[in-house]
Amino acid sequence: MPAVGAGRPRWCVDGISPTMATVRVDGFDFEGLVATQRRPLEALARRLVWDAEDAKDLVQAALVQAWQRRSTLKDAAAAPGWLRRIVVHRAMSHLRRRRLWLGLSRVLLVEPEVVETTGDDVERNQHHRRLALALEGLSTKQRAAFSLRYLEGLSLDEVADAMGIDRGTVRVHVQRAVKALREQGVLPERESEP
Amino acid sequence: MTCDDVQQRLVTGALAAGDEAHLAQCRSCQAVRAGHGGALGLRGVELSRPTRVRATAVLARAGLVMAALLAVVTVALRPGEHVEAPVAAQPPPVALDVDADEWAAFVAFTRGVERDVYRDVVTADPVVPSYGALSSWVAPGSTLTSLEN
Repeated sequence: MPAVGAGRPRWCVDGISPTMATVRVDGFDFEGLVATQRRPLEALARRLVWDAEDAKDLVQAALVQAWQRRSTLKDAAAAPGWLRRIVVHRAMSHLRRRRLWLGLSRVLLVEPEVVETTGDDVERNQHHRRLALALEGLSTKQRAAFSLRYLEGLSLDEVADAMGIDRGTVRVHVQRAVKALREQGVLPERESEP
Repeated sequence: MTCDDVQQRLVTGALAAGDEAHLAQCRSCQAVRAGHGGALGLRGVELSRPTRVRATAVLARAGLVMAALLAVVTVALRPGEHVEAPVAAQPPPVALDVDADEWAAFVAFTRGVERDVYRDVVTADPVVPSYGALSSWVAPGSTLTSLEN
């Protein structure tokens, strides 16, 4: 097993490569984990924060955090869920900060810049825009639970694991989010499957 | 069984016995069921940020507000200026048309009054004998004595 204490992993900073070719920590391949999980994690982060650059930064910071705390992971099979949990927590903190800035801008009467949407389907873009505005009005936990459940397609148990809360609480967050969004008329009309 | 219970079971997709009967009557729960069904169709959708707040704009505005607040507090806490009490207006000097002799007599009179009122303290006065010579001073004269005899 190569030394892993000093130096930074190859994926951490471009151009700075540690001497190790493969980073194995307590029986699991950290670099292999990063290689397989980076894209899904970035997609997950994008679904939560709706910004590709922010999502990349979040995942990068989460990987650095995971690298620093790699010794706390006992079960290699739990590594993907562990990484997802770190990313979700960071994304929720990011959303809280963004919400704070938004609130501060409203108090100070600073008009937020409208981000132009790109794409050919104008009607769909408009609908997604209304959905995004409505989601921004929800609490951070409701928004994260809704995004993980419906946009990412996770089960309630997976959402609970990713958010670090119990299944019943996730159910409440999801129900309240659906109810609020439905009242605002931003959810598409479709009867649920039996 | 409350609406919240039914709606939470709805979003888990595991309805209990009797929920369908409740759903048939409850419009709120029907709306949540429709919302849940519609939301399931959102899988894979990537939303983009509808608005963006520039931190520099917020900080600039916050700086302005803080500066204004600071100015107000500074003015409010400034020590008050010393205000002079208003001075009563002096009456205009009276112009007198007095004859020079009369004025000289008036001045002499006022000086005499001043002299009498503010007399200097004296220890020896030729008019008033000293206390030791009082007996001889108040003693009856020889004429009076002769008359008595």
